[in-house]
Amino acid sequence: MNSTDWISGGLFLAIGIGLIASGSAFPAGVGGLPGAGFFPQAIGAVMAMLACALVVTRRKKDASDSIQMGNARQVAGAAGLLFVYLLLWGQGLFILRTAVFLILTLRFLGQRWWPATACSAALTAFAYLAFDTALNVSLD
Amino acid sequence: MIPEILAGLSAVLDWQVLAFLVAGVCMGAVFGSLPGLTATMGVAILTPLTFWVSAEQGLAMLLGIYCGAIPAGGIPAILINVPGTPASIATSWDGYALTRKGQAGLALGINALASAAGQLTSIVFLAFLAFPIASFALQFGPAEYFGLALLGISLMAGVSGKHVLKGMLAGMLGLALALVGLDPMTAYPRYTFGMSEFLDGISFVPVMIGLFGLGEVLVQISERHTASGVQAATIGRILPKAAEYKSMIGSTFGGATVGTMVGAIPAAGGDIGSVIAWEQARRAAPDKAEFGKGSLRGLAASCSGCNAAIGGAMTTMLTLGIPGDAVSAVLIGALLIHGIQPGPLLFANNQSFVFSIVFLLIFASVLIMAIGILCAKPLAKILKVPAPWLWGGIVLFGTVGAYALNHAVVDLWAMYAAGVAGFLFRKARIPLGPLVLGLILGPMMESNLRRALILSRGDWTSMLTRPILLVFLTATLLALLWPLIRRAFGSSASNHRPSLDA
Amino acid sequence: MLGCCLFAAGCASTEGPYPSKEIKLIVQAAPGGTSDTVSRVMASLAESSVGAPIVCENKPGASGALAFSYVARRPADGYTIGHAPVEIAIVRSLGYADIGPSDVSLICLVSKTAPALVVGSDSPWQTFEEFVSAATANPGQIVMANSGIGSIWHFNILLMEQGTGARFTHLPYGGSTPALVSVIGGHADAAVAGVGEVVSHVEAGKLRALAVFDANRSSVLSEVPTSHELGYPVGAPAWSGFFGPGGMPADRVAMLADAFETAFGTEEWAKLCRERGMEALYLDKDGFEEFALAQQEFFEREIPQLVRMEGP
Repeated sequence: MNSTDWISGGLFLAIGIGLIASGSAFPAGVGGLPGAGFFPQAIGAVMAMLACALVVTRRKKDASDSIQMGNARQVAGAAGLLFVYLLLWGQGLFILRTAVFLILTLRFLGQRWWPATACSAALTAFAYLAFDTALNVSLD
Repeated sequence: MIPEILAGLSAVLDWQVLAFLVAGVCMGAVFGSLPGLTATMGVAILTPLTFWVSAEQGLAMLLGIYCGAIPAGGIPAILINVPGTPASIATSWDGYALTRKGQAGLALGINALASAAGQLTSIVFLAFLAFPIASFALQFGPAEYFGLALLGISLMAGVSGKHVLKGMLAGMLGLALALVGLDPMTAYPRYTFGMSEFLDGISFVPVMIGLFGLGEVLVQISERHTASGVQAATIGRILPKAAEYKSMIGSTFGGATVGTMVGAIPAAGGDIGSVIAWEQARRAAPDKAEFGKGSLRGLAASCSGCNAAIGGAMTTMLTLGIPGDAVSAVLIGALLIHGIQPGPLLFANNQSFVFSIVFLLIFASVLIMAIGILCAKPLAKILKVPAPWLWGGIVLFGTVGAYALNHAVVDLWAMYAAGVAGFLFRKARIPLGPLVLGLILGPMMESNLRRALILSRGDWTSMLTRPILLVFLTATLLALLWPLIRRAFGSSASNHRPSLDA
Repeated sequence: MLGCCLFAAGCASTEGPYPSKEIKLIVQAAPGGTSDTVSRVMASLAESSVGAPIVCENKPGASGALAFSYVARRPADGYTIGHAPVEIAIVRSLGYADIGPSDVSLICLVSKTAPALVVGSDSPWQTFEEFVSAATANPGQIVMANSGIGSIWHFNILLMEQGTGARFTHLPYGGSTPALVSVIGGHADAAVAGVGEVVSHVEAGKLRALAVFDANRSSVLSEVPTSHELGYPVGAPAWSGFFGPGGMPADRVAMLADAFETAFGTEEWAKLCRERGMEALYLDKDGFEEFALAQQEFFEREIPQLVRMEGP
C-alpha cells in the first residue's frame, strides 16, 4: 500500500476536482469568451484525468516504488528549526538569531560545538555583509 | 561601414571602459550565483551609478553585469543543484548529475565554454541578421505567444525522465499554482484567500529556491549515511577532451540558435530559451537516455541557450527599441538617461555606438569564459567542505535571497512550503522540472490564449490561419506523440549506441 | 573607553538631530521602472542636503498597496518614507487596501506624466476626431490595448469612452510596454500610455500620437494636440511624490521636502524628466495634499461608475 503512485494519484485527483469546483464559482466570460474560471477548470480536468491514469497504470509489485524516507527524524528536526527561524523573522538582531539558528541546526546534524559555531559565525557574517551592508537589503 | 566599426571599437578600447566591463562582469557573477539576486536586480540597482560616467563606461558596466550573471547562475546549479537565476534551471539537470559523478570541474568548464560560445553565436546573429530577427519577433501576437507557451508545456513530458505521467501531473500543478492572483484579463482575484500579498501571484524565485535549494538539502539530510547519499568529492579535470568538444558542437550551436530566437521575442528570455534548447538537443542526440543524467550535450545546449538569449534580447532592443526581456527593459532606461534612444534611428544615426555594444558583448563573452575557467577549481572546492556546513549555507542564502527579492515575509513562507513540497516530490519520484515549466509558462499561456480569443471575437478556429502558430502547434503535437511514433516503428537507437557521455 | 564610545554612539543614534541614521525609501514597484528610477535618482540627489544616506527598497505588489500599507505601519519618525504614485489615490477604490492620501503624511510632489493616445504608424486614422468618430460609428471594432485592468492608463481609456461616446474592444496586457508592442506589431489598433513611454516610438516612426490627455501641451510631444484643445477635457495623469507614515513631525516633513526641492532644482533631475517625458512639477506639502485629496475624490467618484460601465 505504500505505493507513491497511489498516494500522489489520489492527491492530484483531489486537487483536480477542487480546481473544477472552484473554477465554476468564478465569474463567467462575456460574449463567448472564456472567463476567469475557464483555465482553472481546464487544468483541473486534465489533472484529474492524468491522476486517474496514474492510479490505473500503477505498477503494483515494484519494490523500488515505495517511499524511502531515510533519516526522517533528522529531516523533521531540520525543517522544524527552519520553521521556528522563519517564524521569528524580523524579531531582534538578524546576526544573533541567524547565528543561533545555524549553530542549533549544525549541532542537531551532528557537528561538534566549535566547528558549528565557527561555521555559523562565518556564514552569518558573510550573509549580513553581502546583503545588508553591500546591497542595502535590511535584514533586521 | 568600416569607419563606423573602427569608431565603435576604439570607443570601447579604452582602459576605463574595459575596467568598468570587468567590474560589471564580476558584480554580475555575484548577483547571478546568489539565488534570489537576479541579473535584472543587479542592472536596476546599479543604473543610477552610471549617470556620473560616460555612456560607454556605464553601458560596459551594465552589460557586464548582464553577461556575467547568467553563466554565474549555472555555478550553484551545477555544484549544489540550486539554480542561481531562473535561466539556469535546465543547467542543473545535467550539471548537477555530473557533479554527483565526480565531474564537477568538467561541468563548470563546459558552463564557461558553452555560455561564451552561445553568446558569441548570438552576437553573430545580431551583427548579420538583426533586422530579419526583429521583424520575426514583432510578428508575435497573442496567438503566437500562446503557441510558444504550449510548445514549452509540451516539453514537460521530455523533461520528466521515465516518470512521464507524474511529470505531467507536476506540470499541471505548476499551471495551477500560476493561477493564484488577479486574473490577467478581468482582474478578478483567484485563490488569494483575501490576502493582498497574493494579488500578484506567487513569486517565482522564492518557489524556485525552495524547490531546488531547501528541497535538495532535506533530501540529502534524509539520505545521509546511506549508499545513495555519498557525496562525490572529486572535482576532476576542467577542460573537455577533443572528442567531447566534437560531440558538443552540434548541441551548442543548436542551443545558441534556439536561445537567440527565444531571447529576441519580447517577454520570453533565457529561462524558456534554455529549456527549449535542452529539449531540442535531447531530441537530436544519439544518446537521449543520458539527458538529465549528466549528458555533456544537454549541459552545453542549456548553457549556450541561456546566454544566447542575451544576444537575442539585445537584437530586439537595438533594432526596435523594445525590450526582449526584463534586463533589457532596464537597460533601455539607462541608455535613455544618456540621451541614447535604442531603436531603428540608432542604427541609422549612430552606427558606431551599435558596434560599441557588439564589441562590449564580444569582450564580455571572452571574459566570462576566462573567469569561468580560472575560477572553476577554487569554486568546486566548495564540495570538499563538510556537508552540514554546505546545507547551512544553502538554507541561509536561500532564505535571505528569497526575502531580498521583494522584502516580503510571505515569500519566505512560499520558499518554505516549496522546500517541503520539493522534498516530498523527490521522495515520491515526481519530477520537479515540469512544475517549474508550468509556473513560468502558465500565465503566458492563459493570458495570450484569452487575448487571442478577444482579437478573434471568440472564434477558436480563425487562429489556425496564423502560420507561426501552426508551426508551434505541429511541433507540440509531434512532441506529445513522438514517444508513440517511435514505439510504433520499434527502433530506438538510443540504447544501442555506445554513449560518449557515460 | 570603548564602552563610553559605544554609549555615546548609541545616544547619538536615538537623540541626535534628525537625521542621524539612514532613511529608508520604500518603492512600490520592481527595480527598473519609472517609479524606481524616480525614487533612486531623487534619493541620490537629495542625500547631500539631508545629510544621511537615503536607501531605496523595492516592495512591489497589489498596485503598490503592499508598500503603502507597510510604510503607514512604520513608526512616524521620518526614517521610513515611501514613493507616492497616483495609485495611492486609487488602491482603496480597487479594494486592494484601506489606505489613501488622507491616511499618510504627504511630503512633496516632484513630477507628473500625462497619458497619450497612440495608434500604429500605418493606421488609417490621422487625427483624434477621425479616430473617435470611427470608434463611435463601429462600437467594439477598434481594439484598444491597455496596460492592465485597474491601471491608471486603463482608467484613461474608460474616461475617454465615457467622455466621447467611443466604444472599444479592450485588450489587457501586464504593463505599458507589451501593450505598446502589440500596437507596433499591428495586433492591436491603439493604446493609451504615458507620454514618456510612447515618445521614443513616436520619434522612431513606429507609432503616431493622436492626443495627449492634458490641459497643456507636452514638452516632448509639442506638436500633438491636447484633449482639452480638442474639446474633451478628459485625462488622469500619473504622478510621483513622496510620503511618510501618518502623523510625522512637521519639522521632519519640511526638512525632507526642502531636500527634495533642492534635488528638484538640479540639472540631473531636469535631464531625467526630459529623457523620460515627465513634466517636472514641484508641489510642497500643502499643494500636494490638496492635489492628492482631489485625486482621491476623483477616483472614488469615477471608478465605481467606470467599472459598472465596463462590467458584464
